[in-house]
Amino acid sequence: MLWIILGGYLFILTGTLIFTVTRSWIYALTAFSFQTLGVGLLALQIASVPVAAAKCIVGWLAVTILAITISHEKKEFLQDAEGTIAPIFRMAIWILVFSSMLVLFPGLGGFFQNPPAGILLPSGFLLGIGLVNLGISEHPLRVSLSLLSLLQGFELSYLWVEQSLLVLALLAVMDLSILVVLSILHSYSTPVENPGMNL
Amino acid sequence: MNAPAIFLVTPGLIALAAYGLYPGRSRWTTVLAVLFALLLAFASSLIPLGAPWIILGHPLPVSNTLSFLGRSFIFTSDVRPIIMFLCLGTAALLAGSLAVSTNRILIPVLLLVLSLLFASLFIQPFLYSSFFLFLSVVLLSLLLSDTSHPSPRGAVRWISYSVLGTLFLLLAGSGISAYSNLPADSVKMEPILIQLCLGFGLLLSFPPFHFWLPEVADDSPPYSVSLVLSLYVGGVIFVLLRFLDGFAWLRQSSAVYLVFLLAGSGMCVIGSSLSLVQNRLGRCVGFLSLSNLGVVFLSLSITGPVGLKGGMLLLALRGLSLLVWGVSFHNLRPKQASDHIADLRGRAFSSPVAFSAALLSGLSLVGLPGLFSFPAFWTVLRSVTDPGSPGSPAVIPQLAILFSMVAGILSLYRFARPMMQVPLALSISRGGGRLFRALLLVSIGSIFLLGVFPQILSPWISNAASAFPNLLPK
Repeated sequence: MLWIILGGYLFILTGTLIFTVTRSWIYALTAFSFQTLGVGLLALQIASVPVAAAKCIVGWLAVTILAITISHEKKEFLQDAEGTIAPIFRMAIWILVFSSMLVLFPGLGGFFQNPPAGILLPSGFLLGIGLVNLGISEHPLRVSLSLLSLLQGFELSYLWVEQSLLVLALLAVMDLSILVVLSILHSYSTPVENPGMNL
Repeated sequence: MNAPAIFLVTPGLIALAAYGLYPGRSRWTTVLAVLFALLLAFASSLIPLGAPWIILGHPLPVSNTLSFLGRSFIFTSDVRPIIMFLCLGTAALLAGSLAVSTNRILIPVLLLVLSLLFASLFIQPFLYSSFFLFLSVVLLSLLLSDTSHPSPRGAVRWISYSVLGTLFLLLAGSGISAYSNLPADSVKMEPILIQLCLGFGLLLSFPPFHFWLPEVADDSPPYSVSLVLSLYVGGVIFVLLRFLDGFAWLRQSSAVYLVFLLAGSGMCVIGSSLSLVQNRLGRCVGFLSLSNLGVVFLSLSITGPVGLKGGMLLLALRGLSLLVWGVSFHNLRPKQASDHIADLRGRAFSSPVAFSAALLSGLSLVGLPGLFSFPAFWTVLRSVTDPGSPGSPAVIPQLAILFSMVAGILSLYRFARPMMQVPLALSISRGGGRLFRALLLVSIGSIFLLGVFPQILSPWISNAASAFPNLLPK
């Protein structure tokens, strides 16, 4: 179990770091897949294998939907051109959120009826990094991934509170609906590249 | 027969049919959708509970519970007035869409949102209702952007705020279930109250969580904005009142009514102040709707039937005002045209009916005397009291309402003045068709008629308050 937890931490930290720093969609989606795997592994501490697997599947489905959306885009869209300062700034933010969460996470326990620290720390970190990413980009697809990070953090701790099938299903619907709708909204803002996405 | 299934499943089926029927038969599809919404309203009052339903002499057993994935959706007689309220509101919004050019998904989205709002009222335990509210946000967001309004900024912000609001409500819900028998004013109640305030604040655009509102009003089709600000906001307020009605410790806490009072006053002052400094009509009306929502909350801060009935009335009239505004503004602001104050010059001459309807609906939203919202505004103004010392009038909320009325009228005047200036090239538009002009003329007549004779409609609408029996004194 210890190796699984350590693996989970590693995937989450690496995934969030790459997702926060990079502006390349290919790296961002790969990072988010790793992050999702990390969430699934950490969920095993308090949930059964099918529940953890369901969390992973939802995250990977989200990545697939995003990959399909992005595949309709022009090549320039896949990688934003930016200088060296911006990635360094975002890395600094990531370090700031991580160090803040190391100090603050015990105080978050009350919100989720005191889950174990092994759940609360990554959960708080995902919530924090999701919020930060939400604040630094207005692009619909990037917002959708930030919201999913935020929701993964919430869902990890919420598993401690509630594991009913309906709630799990509704949370999954919530995750995927955000992604689908933001992909559709994104297609309206770039209609030339997506002639097929017309409702 | 399963009563919840009728309200949860049939709108979905009709939505699917409407999506298929719409191309080529848009008007008939809309009429059928209106009739369906009216039929649902009628059914909600007819379906018997605890006894078989006699149809053509045959008894049909009726179940009031639908079980799904281990949870229950329960149709109780208490929710009948809210269902009627929502169905009639949806029917009006669907009928209004006949007068504006909409896309194919409007009818399906409206019907699905109606079904989700029903689900948020039926679900037990009640804490899961926030999921359904969020799903309605997601669906309504689809209407906020199209090829004519390509910027998704408003919708993206709305979804982001709603996700956060939903999470706070889920946390509050789990806290409520953990401490189910809390006494009023317990120390443990404080974090739950804060979570509820944050959750509903984010969903309802309480300042400082209102930043999605101007973006939505700016970037989206006007009719879709009016749907969001009327139907969705109404649905969230019903869920909020169900929370209050369902938990004794919550409704007995004076802190809740104080929060309503402060939030209402704040929304009145901030909404109307911000409307004064806007240069775009869409944003201005967005902020006026925020100010109007403040008056709704001030009404709900009044304990007892006066406040609750006043709140229901204000919600309904807000919906009607926004509906008329959505239809008329759609005509005043052609696709991809600016609604900047400088670009609206002379519009009163080119589209006189639409201009009159837009102006009157805006003035009704701010409670101008003589128009249909004023009697409800006046009741709130007279009845709002200080929760700390019952019986004594609360001066600050009263001033907030008066300020919102004056500032609202001034902000609308700012826009009306250039619109009434004679343009260099005068061209009178008869755009929008006969149905459009007929609908707007009927609306203009209703705004005046119901302002002078509020008793025509108010007893019917106030009846919706009976959906919250615990909030009404026995």
